[in-house]
Amino acid sequence: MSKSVSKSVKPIKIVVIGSGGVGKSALTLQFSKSKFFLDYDPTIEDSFSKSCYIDNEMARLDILDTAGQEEFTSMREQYMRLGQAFLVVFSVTDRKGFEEVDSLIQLIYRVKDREAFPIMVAGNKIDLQNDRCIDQSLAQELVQRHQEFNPYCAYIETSAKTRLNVDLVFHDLVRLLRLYNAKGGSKQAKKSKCSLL
Amino acid sequence: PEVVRRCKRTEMSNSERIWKDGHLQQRRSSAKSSRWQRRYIQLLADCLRVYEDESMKRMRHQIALNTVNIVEHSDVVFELARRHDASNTVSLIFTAEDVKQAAGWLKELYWLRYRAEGGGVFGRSLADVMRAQADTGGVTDVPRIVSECVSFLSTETCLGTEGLLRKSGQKKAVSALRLAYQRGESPDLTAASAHETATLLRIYLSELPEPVVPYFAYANFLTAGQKISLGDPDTELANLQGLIQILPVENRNLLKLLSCFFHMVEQQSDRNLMDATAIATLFSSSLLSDDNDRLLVNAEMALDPQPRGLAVSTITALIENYERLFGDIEFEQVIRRSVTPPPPPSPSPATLHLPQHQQHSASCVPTLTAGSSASAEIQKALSSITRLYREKAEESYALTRELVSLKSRLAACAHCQRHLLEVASEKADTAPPASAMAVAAQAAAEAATAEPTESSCPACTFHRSETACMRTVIAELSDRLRGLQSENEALYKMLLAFNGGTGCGGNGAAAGNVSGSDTSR
Repeated sequence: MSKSVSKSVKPIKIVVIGSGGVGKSALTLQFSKSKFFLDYDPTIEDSFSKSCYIDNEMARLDILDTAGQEEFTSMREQYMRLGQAFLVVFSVTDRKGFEEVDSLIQLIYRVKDREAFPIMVAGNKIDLQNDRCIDQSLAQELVQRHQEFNPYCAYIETSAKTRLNVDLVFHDLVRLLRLYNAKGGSKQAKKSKCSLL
Repeated sequence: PEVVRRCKRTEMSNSERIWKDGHLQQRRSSAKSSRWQRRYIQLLADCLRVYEDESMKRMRHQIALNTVNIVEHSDVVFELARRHDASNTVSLIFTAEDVKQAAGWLKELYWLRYRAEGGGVFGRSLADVMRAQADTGGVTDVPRIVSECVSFLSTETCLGTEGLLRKSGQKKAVSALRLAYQRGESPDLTAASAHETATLLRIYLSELPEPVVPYFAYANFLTAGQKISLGDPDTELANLQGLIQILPVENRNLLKLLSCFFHMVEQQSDRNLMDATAIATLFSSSLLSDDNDRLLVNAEMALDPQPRGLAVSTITALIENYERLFGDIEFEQVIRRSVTPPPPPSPSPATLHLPQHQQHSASCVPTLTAGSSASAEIQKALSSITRLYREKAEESYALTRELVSLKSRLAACAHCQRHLLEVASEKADTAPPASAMAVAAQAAAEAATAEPTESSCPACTFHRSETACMRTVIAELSDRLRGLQSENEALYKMLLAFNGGTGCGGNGAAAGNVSGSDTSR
């Protein structure tokens, strides 16, 4: 019975992006399979789907787990075009991955040609408190800068290892998307074109 | 007018090769107030010419490349800035329509400007780079950028870095390194971290116009990889070894160096967490892939997981069996000829596996020499077959490429699509874009059936006649390709039989067969 329900729901395409080795696959696998995999295998591209109730409403999530290495960027723009909501992951133990976050969000706006879009920023690996080099306030600040013009952007701290906030990050993303769609997000004004023209 | 212009251009190219031409927005950088102008630009081997328009009646500027430096202001804006010691020339700023167009121009500009100094290597073919390197008296086995990166990365501290080759370096630092190499400089890699250098190496390899294993050998490598993972690794490794032997020398050298380096990384996987499969996954598309994977520009062509998995397992086999496949220590020495002084001889795993190499190569060489002395004829025949095979394989690969590009051009001529869309949107003036697309698609379908309609666009009429030509060419090419492929298959089997033969110390009967059939050719 639940199957027929989930069939009738249109899947939501979620794309997980972020620098290499920050735990994109670990988060995705922890969410979809409730497991923490210890192997250290880089991803080229993987997809998972999971159905769940979020705020008493059925949601079918198609999650696309992507490669973190920049030379796969030609692929990156393609799957970005298909994504309806984005999870941008960085590791709180990796400064370089964090520096990448802003440019990735900019890339989403550019590919989507929108100024606002549902985006969750996840600071992963917070179980490794001793190695932490990105403060919560630093990440909050970054997201707040985006929130000024993109109300569908939020920050959350996660640990794929201890499963902290793993469900929450995906559920919140779906909530953001619902909010975005309810406000007629897809029909919202496109990014303003070059003012010189 | 289109045709006339084309003729003019080909006449020109006979006297001086045009490396690239096209339109860019341009202005002079000295006069800040000067306006952007759309200009027609031609890039020749040693100079850049800016024309008023494509008719090439008025040349606005001609800049000798060796009097300027290339400065990138953003993704799409770059400047040819006059060098301080050069008078008599101007600095010009250019803006491209998008990142891709800018990258295309920059690639050629860097190469033509800095190749004499050993720069401009990104996106250049291995053969080009090696030729330039030989001319400038550099290292002659692998591209300088690779040998320098690898020698830094194979230092003890780098090898122990967690996520080596996987994690990304800081973007700014990586672009600075890239710029230095584009200009032919030798940046101090020790000042950067391991991740930056690794990222640079990954990017360089991924931008090679052809993977390290050339397209023509792709299918055979994949088959070999599949067989290794399925079982009987011994004979299959011999096959793979044979395949490596028939690669062009610059590709073989690079593959060897990389396999060796990856092998060293893998040896320390308890510290850096990178096992052979992980490394293979990261590099499989740069080392072993076909067109569809690399030039993934057309949206619908997603990565086919199956061949990708096979490519990964083939590369894994290359890394894990490095000693058996390449077995010599010469390259280790190349790598160890490092930027920093070599690590003290401590009993660490990296230095421990050196003796194994020596042992192995020592046991390997005698069998090889014994085989060759047993019959010089075998060697001769083998090399002639190898040559023949490589020629055929390259030819058939070139044909396949031509076919694919012809077919895709047939499917979508960008200009006509756009034109038809415009016509359609004019027709369905107020209609929503979706239906305009539908009308355009219909119109395109009509055009594809080559019905001469009253369309006034000269390009479309031109395109339609071109399409008819293309169809016949495609049919001819397909026939030739089929012929070549069967020939090739026979040759490949012969080669494998041969490799099996020499592997067992020179099987006389098999060798006789092969050389016999070789002369019959």
